Amino acid sequence: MKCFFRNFALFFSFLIFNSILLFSGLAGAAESKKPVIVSSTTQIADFARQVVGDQAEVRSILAPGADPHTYNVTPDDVQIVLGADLCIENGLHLEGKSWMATLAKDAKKVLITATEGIQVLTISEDGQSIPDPHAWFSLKNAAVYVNNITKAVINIDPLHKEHYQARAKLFLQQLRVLDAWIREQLSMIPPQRRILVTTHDAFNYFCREYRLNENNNFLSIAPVGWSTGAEVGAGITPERRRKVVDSIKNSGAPAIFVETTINPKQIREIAKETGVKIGGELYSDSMGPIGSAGETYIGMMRENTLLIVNALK
Amino acid sequence: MRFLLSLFVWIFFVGGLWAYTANRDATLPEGPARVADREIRTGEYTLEITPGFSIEADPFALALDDTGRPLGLEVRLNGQILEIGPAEIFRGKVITVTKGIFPTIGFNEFYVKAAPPMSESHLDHCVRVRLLDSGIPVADRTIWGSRGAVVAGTVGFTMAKPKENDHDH
Repeated sequence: MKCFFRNFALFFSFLIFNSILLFSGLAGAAESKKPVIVSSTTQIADFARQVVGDQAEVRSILAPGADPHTYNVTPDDVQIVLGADLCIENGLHLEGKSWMATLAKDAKKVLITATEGIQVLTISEDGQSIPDPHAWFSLKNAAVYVNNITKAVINIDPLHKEHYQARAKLFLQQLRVLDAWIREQLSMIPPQRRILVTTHDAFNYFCREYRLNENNNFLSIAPVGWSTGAEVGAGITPERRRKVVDSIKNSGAPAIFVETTINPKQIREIAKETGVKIGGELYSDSMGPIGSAGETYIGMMRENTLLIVNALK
Repeated sequence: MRFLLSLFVWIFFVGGLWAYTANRDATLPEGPARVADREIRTGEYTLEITPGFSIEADPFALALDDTGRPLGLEVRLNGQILEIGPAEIFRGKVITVTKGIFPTIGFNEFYVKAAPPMSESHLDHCVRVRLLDSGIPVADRTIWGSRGAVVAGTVGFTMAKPKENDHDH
């Protein structure tokens, strides 16, 4: 009996000691918890990663290659947003039926719109003016995204403000150099050959900024509208398709392009009908998978530019 | 009982390691150690900045509310931002700065960053930086930036201690 009590006392003190150690460790881990940022698209996730480095965790709801216009949220997405400190959407109806805003609202999380403050390009569809959501295709707009994300991240984690600012400045300078590089590359294509035909109307900002598709008021030419979903002015219509075919035949486009997020069937049919080659696969609404050249925003824009230049020049 | 003992031995080691890694930096002092201020070298200093391009607001600048206007020109001396007048900055026009130039004895450094206009992103650009003490050049360097990039660089110079007056005469 005496031995039992002695063993029990030893065991009990051992238990308390271990609990103290374990809980002190847990407390330390809790103190160093990183903020969690959840973005709707892969592009926004990359911008956020460039700003926060390893000081926050960034997660994207959309996987590389997924289409934001037609995406349906899953129970896993709800769980991801529940763990977020900050949610970021593209806005301008890129997220079909505003799925990111709904996720953030249901989870009662802070949501910012990354496109706030950009010069919105409006397109006329079915007698309506529709804001084009693919704003990241202009590097100047990408700088606005980075500014908005930096402000929001500083708001949730002011302690690391200087780190975030320093990283944002570096990334913005990289974007500036990339912008100049894209202009230099595209200048190798004679203006009359700068005809960009893609699967859907995602490249309006790109065409306007870098002066492609002169015959279409420097806007993109595509058989599918601004969205692949069912919104106003979205999807494919026989008139749109005919207009694209006529445009290719009249302008003599050297090549047309498919997009990574959309079924290439329509564009292949048009290529066959007009006798034009397929120039390659462009990253549009989503970046490339991990390990691909397009896994970052800079890589995506670089690869798209090289593909366009090589096919059109 | 053996199982429990094994479990708690495991917890002891894992918990101990966890606690150690989580708290090992707790005893370190917060922030950098205080560095003693250096003696300021008095003089009549003028900083001359001559850009080879007209400076414009940079669309790729970080424009947070509390960092002031997104100016296309930023100048620092030893980390301190120097104020530059609001006048427009043209190609070849010398910008003169006299306020806030307090070099210290020892090594000093200017940091200059200027944003060339986006319409000239196909050209290389430069900025000449000169520091004069009563009209005599102390530092003179031209900073170059390649196509599209902001022109940014440092100009280092060392200030010696002023010579003691010779009392023999």
